[in-house]
Amino acid sequence: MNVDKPIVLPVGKKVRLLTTANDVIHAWWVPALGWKRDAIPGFINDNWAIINEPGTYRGQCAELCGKDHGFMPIVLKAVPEDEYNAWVEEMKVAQAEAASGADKEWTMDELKTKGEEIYKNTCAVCHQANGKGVPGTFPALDGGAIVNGPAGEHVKQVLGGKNLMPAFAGQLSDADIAAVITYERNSWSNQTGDVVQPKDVKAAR
Amino acid sequence: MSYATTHDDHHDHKPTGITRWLFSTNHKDIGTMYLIFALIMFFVGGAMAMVIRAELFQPGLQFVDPLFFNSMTTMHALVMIFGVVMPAGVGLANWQIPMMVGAPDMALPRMNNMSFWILPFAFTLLLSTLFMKGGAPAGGWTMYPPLTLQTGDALPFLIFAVHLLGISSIMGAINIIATVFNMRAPGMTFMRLPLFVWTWIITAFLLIATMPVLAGAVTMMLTDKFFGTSFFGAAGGGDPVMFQHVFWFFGHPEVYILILPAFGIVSQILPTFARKPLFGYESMVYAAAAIAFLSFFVWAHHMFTVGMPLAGELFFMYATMSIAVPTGVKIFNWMATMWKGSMTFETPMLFAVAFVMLFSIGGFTGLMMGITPADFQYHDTYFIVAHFHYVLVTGAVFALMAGVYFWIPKWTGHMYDETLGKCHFWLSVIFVNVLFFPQHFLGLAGMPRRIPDYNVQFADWNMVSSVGGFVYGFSQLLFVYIVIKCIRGGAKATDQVWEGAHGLEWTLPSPPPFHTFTIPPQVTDATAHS
Repeated sequence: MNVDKPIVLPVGKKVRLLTTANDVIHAWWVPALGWKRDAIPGFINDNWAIINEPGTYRGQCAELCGKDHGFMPIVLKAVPEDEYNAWVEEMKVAQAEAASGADKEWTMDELKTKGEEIYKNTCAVCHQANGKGVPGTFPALDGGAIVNGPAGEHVKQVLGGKNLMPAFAGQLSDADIAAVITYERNSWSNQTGDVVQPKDVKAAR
Repeated sequence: MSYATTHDDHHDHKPTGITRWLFSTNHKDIGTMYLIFALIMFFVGGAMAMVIRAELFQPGLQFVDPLFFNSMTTMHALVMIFGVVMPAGVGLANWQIPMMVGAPDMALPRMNNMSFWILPFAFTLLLSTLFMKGGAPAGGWTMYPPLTLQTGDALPFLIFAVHLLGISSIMGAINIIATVFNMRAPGMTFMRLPLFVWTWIITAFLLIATMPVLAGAVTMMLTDKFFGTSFFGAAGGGDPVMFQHVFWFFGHPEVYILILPAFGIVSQILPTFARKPLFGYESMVYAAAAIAFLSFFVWAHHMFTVGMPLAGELFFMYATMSIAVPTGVKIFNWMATMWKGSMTFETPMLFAVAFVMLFSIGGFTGLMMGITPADFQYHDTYFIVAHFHYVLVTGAVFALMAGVYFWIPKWTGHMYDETLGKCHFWLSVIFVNVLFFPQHFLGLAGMPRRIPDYNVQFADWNMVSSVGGFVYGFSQLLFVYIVIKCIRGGAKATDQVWEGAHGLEWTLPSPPPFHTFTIPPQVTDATAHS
């Protein structure tokens, strides 16, 4: 039960935690903090905590949120304040780097490699790693109409969502979305040969 | 006075063959059908529980994929609530209420037939979803949107099944109210009604008040999914939390719909085997009514973690805790009934005593979760799973089992096998605790509910719980054997069956003739309730 990006928080300070959701209701729960709070689409719930001991705190989603509800860990790293400030600086640099990626031209291979990673973390929950979806609930991307149709419609769907599919405009960067769309359009039996660049996504926003 | 000599013999012809059951308007036959249906569903729902406990026997994914696991938890709950506890309660009501109030049958016999025969259709709809594209409903029995809106082809089947079950329950409830209000024998005043009848009247009013609310909630979900409305979709300006409010406005009275008939059964059994009248009869009636009334003002304690204003949290916390007062009255009255009684411990009494003790454990954990700040930790963990299984399995199911053992000699004319009955009791009571007690520890240690795989720190108690589950589950087959054996033969039961039994049903022969009380009996204080 580990995560790729733990939440980093300073110790000895009152921190405010806001929860919301994009798809279904989840609940944010770290037992050592002594509370849980639902994360609900359309709502922003707030809570606070003061963590006294530095260390790693673990928890998981506590509201049934679908097939992978049992696999939704939370890892919270409480660190001294100076370490926290250093982490914030580091994150700012990383974000700036990611933003700069939006302007450059990517090759198909670069996009597909990055896209596969994002697909696994973000899209495979519903559409499945093999792109086959779940019949009756989540459409297949392998051979799917939108994926093999005009690229502009595909970008619009990912940015804005549709029906059960959440909007990813606020969650993924231009480069992320360009990469994952390029991956989807050129994987499994889909061979459109389309390359979607971050600037195309930026233009569609 | 013997009613065997006063009933009309020429009326006592039974229709034969399949039409006896299909077109039955006889409260005894319909009661039997309800009880058999509930027993079959008990094993359907039980099989799902076995899948759940098998998967949770060890950490990791062993037998089923996570989506199917979620379907199992969802369907297990729906089957056990709507297919077992409610029909079994109605079955007992059908058999007992006309005999207890001295009526020849239910007031609305054809509606009685229809309210039963809706059930097999409703469950065919519901269970057929197991074989559908997208799988059976997997969003939990509480059906919270937006998750439940992700259900595949099964969603409309789930919703229509809920509609049918609601219609069936409402018709059953109307029938019970009509029977008790209009068909009591001369002298059977309201305050002479056996407590089982009283708790069922109150349950019937709860059903009529809340089932339409559930129907409304699921109908809004139906239009959200298929007709483009956004009652619960945040993206369209709807409110996913509103569903929870509406659902639990049904859901909390529903838990009393499940438990009040059980209170009634226990209130019949304890005086019989303690050979003392029920202590505090009137306070028992008022307590049951108070519980039912208060149940309409506590719904949001199921949703403390959605984020409510402080005033709301406080209101629902205190309202919830106030239910402990009338419930405490009932528990103390049961204990006072047993106090200094000449007690014997036949199987129904064993189940009833176990009910009082184990239901109280479930009641106490309920109080713990009624405390808002504590609930922030307990909510949606195995602690709540342990809590509601204590009130529903060792509560409702134990009482229903007790009721069957108590009345089956009356229904069949044969005593059940007491030795096997005691075996069934001890297997059940020991292993149900092995099954559910460790789940308190799991919840307090931080295991969320509804997960197919878990952190290894929870492995030991999950294994203990699963072992308890398997033994408890399979020991229920013994119950089926005891019931079948009792139907086929056994020692002849007397009219009174139990030495300490009082009330109209015990004045009838065992088994009672097909039609009873065609001439109403005269009821006096002495012959009224026990």
